[in-house]
Amino acid sequence: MNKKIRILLITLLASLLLSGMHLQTPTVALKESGGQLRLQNCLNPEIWENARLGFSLYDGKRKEPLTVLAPEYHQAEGCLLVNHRGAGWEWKTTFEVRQRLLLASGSIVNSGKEDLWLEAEIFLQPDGSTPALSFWEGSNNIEPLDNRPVARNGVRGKLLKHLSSPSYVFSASGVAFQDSSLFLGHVTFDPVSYSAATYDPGTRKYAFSQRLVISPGQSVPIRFVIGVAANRYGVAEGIVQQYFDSLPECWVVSGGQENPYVWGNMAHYQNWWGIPKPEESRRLRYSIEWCYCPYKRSGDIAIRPEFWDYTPHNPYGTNFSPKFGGAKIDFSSSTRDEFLAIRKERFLQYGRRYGWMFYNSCAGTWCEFNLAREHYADSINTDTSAPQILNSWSTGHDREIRVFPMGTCFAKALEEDMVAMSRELDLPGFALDCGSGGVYFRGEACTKPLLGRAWDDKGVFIDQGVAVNHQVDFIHNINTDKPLTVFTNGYLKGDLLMLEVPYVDKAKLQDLLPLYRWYIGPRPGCVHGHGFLFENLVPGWRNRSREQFLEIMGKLSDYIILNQFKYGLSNSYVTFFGCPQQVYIIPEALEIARCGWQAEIPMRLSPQLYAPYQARYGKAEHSFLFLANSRPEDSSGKVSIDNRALSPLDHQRHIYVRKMRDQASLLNQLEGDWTHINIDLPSRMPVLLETVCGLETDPAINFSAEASSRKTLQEQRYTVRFQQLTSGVNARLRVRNIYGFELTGILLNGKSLDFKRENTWTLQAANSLLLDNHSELEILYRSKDYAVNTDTITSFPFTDDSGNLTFSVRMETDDPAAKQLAQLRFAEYFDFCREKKLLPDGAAVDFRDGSSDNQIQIALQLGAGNLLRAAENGNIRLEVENQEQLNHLLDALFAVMDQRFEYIYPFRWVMGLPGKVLNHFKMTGKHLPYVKYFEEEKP
Amino acid sequence: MKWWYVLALFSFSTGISLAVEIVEYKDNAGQKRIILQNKWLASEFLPEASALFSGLQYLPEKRPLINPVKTSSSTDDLLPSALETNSCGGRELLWGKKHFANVLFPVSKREATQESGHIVFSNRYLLNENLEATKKVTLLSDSLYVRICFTLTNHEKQAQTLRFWTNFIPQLSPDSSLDIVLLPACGGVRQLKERGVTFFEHDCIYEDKEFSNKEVFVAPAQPWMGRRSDRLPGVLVMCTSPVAMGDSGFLYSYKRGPHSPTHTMEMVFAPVEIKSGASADFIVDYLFFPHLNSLSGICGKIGFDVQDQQLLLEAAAECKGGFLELEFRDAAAAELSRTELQVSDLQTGILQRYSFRVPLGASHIAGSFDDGRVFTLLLK
Repeated sequence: MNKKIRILLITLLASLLLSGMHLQTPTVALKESGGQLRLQNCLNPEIWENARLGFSLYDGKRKEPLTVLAPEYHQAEGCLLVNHRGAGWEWKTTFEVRQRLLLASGSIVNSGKEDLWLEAEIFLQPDGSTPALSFWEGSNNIEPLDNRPVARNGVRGKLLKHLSSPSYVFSASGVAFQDSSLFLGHVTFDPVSYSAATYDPGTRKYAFSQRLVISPGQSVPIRFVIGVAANRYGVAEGIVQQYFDSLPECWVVSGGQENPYVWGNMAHYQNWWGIPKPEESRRLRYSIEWCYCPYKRSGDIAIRPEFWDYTPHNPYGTNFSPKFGGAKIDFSSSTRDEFLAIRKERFLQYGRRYGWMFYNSCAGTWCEFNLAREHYADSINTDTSAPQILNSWSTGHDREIRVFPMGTCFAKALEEDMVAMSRELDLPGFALDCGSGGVYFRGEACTKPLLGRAWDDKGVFIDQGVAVNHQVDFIHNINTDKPLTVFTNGYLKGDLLMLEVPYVDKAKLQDLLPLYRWYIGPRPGCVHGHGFLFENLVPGWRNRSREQFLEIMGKLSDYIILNQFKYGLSNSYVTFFGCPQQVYIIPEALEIARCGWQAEIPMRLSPQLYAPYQARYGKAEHSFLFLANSRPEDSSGKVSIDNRALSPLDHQRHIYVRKMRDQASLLNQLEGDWTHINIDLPSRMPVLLETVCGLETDPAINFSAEASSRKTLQEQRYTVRFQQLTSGVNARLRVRNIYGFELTGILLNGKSLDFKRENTWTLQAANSLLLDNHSELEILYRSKDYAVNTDTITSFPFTDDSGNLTFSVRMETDDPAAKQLAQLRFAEYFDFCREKKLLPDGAAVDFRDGSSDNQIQIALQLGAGNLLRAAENGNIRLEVENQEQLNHLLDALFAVMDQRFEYIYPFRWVMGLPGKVLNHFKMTGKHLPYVKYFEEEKP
Repeated sequence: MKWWYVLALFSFSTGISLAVEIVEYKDNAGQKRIILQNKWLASEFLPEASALFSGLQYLPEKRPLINPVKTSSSTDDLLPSALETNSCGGRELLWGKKHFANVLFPVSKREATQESGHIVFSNRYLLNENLEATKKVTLLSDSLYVRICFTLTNHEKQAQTLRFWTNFIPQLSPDSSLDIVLLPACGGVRQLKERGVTFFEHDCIYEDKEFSNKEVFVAPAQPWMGRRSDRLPGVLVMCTSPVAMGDSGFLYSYKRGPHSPTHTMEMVFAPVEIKSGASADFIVDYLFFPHLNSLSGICGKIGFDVQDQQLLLEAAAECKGGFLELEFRDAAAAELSRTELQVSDLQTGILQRYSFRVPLGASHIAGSFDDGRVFTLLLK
């Protein structure tokens, strides 16, 4: 029997025999015995076996510890309740198991007559003599330990120039021993303005604390996280992964998988400065836009009449000339009414379709200097440890001062304005710039019983990050029926997170990552930056040849692709043009991002395999693994995937196949907790693995499985042929849910099995399977959109040989709006083809009532299957229930038509790649070569 | 290798002791560096990083006035290898044009004599534009200032309007504490042509030292910027001519953050139209006054500081003295009183001190030497 399982079973058995209460995670057990809490190490007790768990309180006003007497213990429904009482305060804590870790949630009540300034601490003191090796304070660095105590005090990290404020350390800390780490922290995004982590190697005391200010009669919630994590794939990564797995609510996206804005690419001002481009948006998967400063005066997003007339610090037009959806705004001549009319018209026309996120004055953290001083004086943030006054910032013409958007007059005005704007402009959401913390507000609002108050030598304060998170919550609650989306530039709450650094800025990326990515977590994210920064990277470009330019650009483009898969942050057009490979990979990049980027990558590579680029998305049976080799020569070797780390709550093992668009096959060797595969990593090519299924079996049984996939537009079919099974084995089978598809069948040796949905990403066979040496498992998925094959669409007679349109569209509905929509969409499609010279100029698409050959039929009726299918005589038929579905299926149709009317975006002037460079190398209008490397896999 | 070791080695090995010397060496990252030095100052430049003004040392005290510029070359399978430098030193830029830090700016000429020395760097495509740039660095034998003359030649077919911009990041304070940047600010101005500036009631020396104001734009009362430390004596000045600043040039200073000593001194000149095929010169002097603690104004190469009813003078090169008349004026320029001093000839790097009485309400002092040299001293 596996050693670790044996230890776990012994631990469990011992726990049952012992009286008292206990809570058990896969790696740690919490026990109360004799009035003492103990944490038992179930992962590697040979390093330390038990750790005393204690509580302490420090009085920040009197600067002395408070006496914390022995608590009362209670047990209730899988929870352990611990209650401490003192003079004027009560601290209640409930311990519970949350997946892989322990959550201690509770509250501290002030029953006295004065404000309490407390530092509440949970500490652990492991036994044993094996020394701890390193300390993780929550930043990008792991600090080796000697015999000196270490501490991290406060949440501030490095100053981020682009956000004018510091980064946060992560909400956890860790003390790493050999093979495992003990960790303490708080729940990510809780309103915590100050936390500290300390470890003293001499006493082995490891503590984590939070500072709170509690008014008389106030009850302040406080939560701690406790756990033990394996650190074989990184100390911080192992701990952060437990957070992702156990506290998924921290990284929930408003609207989930159906949020129409966050799972695509950002248009990067293409649809804001200019008139939105419908076809470019569809082809390049733009789904959201950062609508920068749609107002005149910083801090006045609603354009209140009393704030319209003022003298800005800089002339209008400093830094940039505002344009809203192509309408140029001149504040020096525009009246308020004219401005409001243009803004309303543009937002109502384009806002929902193009995901226009309304920029709300930097999440309410910056305001025009005089506006703040004259109307929101209580809101001014006086912390000078970060920039407080900026002479030319968001609007360009304003001088701005930092304000605090929670519990202040400014917060009240901003919140009123956001509600009003969301209704008046039918906003899909807000864009929150400067979504960062690390700046302390000490104004009048700190006397209110707000959450997130902390204290230090200068008094009471609230960190800016608490207020920004409050604003995100506020926005999400503006309309709970139709939740608004929040697009945040930073590392705090939000539905789509922006990292304002281009991929090619390696130094800055190394500064921010992976910490920034841990905060973004499984949520979608994007990079925003000035593209290739070509002149920075190749300063002597005028001395280079065209061949050298092509070589450099090819590498840069691949560098971006490999980093995009590594960090799971979507990219934008600024590096797409001229680089078709980047456009080619968009479907895969977006698809796996939906499953959520993960911190821990549980793979081991054989020494000869060179793969500096690695990533993991999703978990257990819905995982994707990414590897890439950036060298010029190919690399091959063995990859061993640690199933226990991917699926830590059971003994599930996984079978993988290379993720390709048409077909693939791969031999999996399952040994103990591991799946071994041999893999080829071609030079500079992303290699993706997708899970075929997860099997919960006796891990002592080793076997092989040949997995294969065959994919068409309508269907994905995965097959697993089991080998080297010496006897029958019982297995619980889980398969993944594929977005855009539905599972239609699981067949074992041709016999259909029942299955049920387990969660968003997982379906499970209803009964366990008996597998033997010749078993063949088939898993079938059917497209939710397509009941037609690619050829039917691509060979449809859209045009004659001269490129004239030869088909018609028939609308089987009386709904004029549906007809108008279809006409618009077809016009947009073929206008684009003509503009890009894919087709000659010609007539509009013929919409006619009668049926004929060469026809696309659109039937809109209740109860329709929402399916694109082949009709008689080679026609194509779209059956939809409503306009939304019509839009969706037209997208589906056009996506396949793009293979027939393929357009490769050529090089053109973009940020980071100026026209003079392209002209010098004669590359304007040309593009790099590309390979369809996710298709036609060769064995 | 430390560059002063290189200098010492050079001197010993050649056995020649020129008043101004030029030395070249390669740093640990293999980058070529070139030094122009006299007995007072050693100025260093990096030809492979846009001729960056990468070092300035006050030799009598072996005191660096610019933090060491470190270079490194990045390597990556996919990214072009690039020379990287930290944010120190001085560079010449064009306002509104993108800057690239590590452009090759090779030495095209060098000369060192008993009286003076100079190095000329050339770049045919400045900032990858069709602009030719030469950067001539000059050092006189007995002087505490370095002159940089930057010449731009327009090879475009059309005239170009360009704004010369100097960016200078020295460091006077030890242990990485923040230096104070001195900006002679013009009072009563809220906006220059295209930019808002910090408002001051009247002309004054604004001491930029608070981090809260991350960046400050100032309309210049005089065409210089100074820098001092609270920890050590010495004032470093970047200076040009009033004509170069015109009526739209401005002074700018930026601070990186509370944990960084980076505090820039930047002058953005008035726009200049350069016709096709024509050239324009932009001259900036970098002066060091080792014994002054602050600066109220300058006159030629003389630095003045008004402290505690005393006038302190120090010259960055030998200067004539003479009969000096000083008028004390209030903020409205009304004369409050006047005094006269006999100033002896000034030797390089030697402090002179004169006592006088500054009347209450004095905002500035108008000074004039009997040979016609005039200047204004601004009080804080």
